[in-house]
Amino acid sequence: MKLRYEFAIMDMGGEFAAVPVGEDANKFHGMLKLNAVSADILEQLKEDTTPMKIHLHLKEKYADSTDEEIAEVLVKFLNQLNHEGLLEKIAENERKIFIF
Amino acid sequence: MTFTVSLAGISIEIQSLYNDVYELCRDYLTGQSPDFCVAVAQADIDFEREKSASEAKHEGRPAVDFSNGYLETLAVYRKIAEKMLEYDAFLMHGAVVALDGKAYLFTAPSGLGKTTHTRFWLQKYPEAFILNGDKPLLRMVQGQFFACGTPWAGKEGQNKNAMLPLGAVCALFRGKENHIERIPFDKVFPLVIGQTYRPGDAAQMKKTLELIGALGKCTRFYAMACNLDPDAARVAKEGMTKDE
Repeated sequence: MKLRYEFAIMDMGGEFAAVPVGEDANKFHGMLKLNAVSADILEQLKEDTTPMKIHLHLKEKYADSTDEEIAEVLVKFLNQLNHEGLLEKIAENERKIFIF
Repeated sequence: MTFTVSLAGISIEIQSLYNDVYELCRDYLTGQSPDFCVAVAQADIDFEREKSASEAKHEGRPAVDFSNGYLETLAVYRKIAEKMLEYDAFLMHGAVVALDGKAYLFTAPSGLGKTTHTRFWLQKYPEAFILNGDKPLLRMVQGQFFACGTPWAGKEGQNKNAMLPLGAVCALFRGKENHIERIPFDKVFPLVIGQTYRPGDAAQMKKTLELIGALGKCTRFYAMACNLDPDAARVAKEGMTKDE
């Protein structure tokens, strides 16, 4: 899976802003306000990846967190992105993580 | 026609097809040699026409048949705004009122009363003036932000060819009573981004976000609930200047 649009992501002093850019930018009106972990996940989704790869990336970066804690944050955020129509190239075996 | 204007301390040569841009920019003409040049082609004007029609459709209102000359003024400012990023300046939608050598930017979605509020300032403080009523440029110079007048100033066209230190940015909301309070940047940056011109180019958008981030570090932000009582000007002014 990957992001449907290209995003510019910027640290706004602890919280992050993500704004769509490029030819399709006007198809998504608005912006995303993110915490550091969500911004990190969004960065990973700029390239085609899988939930498992992102989980491994987060596990390396946030070693103090448990697998379950990381999975909970990751699934919740991926659901939000999917709900907003911001994900594409979702593999069949990845769809089961979405509750919407 | 070709002429040079000075905006935000930068000299810009404009090559236009119609006379409207020149008429609009009369108060900003300069004899200085240009820092950069913008030239408009018919394709740029056609782009503005399509964009205008698309926005009207999105907002559910009938499209307006704007003249080529008017659409060219939009095309010119779009090109200027994108090039200005290289000079640490960006375009933010808002009304800027100037008083005692400082500029105060009021931002809010369209129709929320920015013009009405700034009119109260002019009534309350005779020495105040509108630097730009709609689309000012904000430029960072040596770590400080300046609000800059431009001739692109909305329906009322209120503007002045000046560049003043930015005293504060205030988000306006409608309220039963006039009340202002200082707010942290992380509470207001989505509104700031929403009211800022967004270039489509990724590098330019990133630069825009960098400048907004810098604005957040060196500017005070306020949220003000305001009603139609002219006393709103006093509440806003006292609220924003007591922290200076």
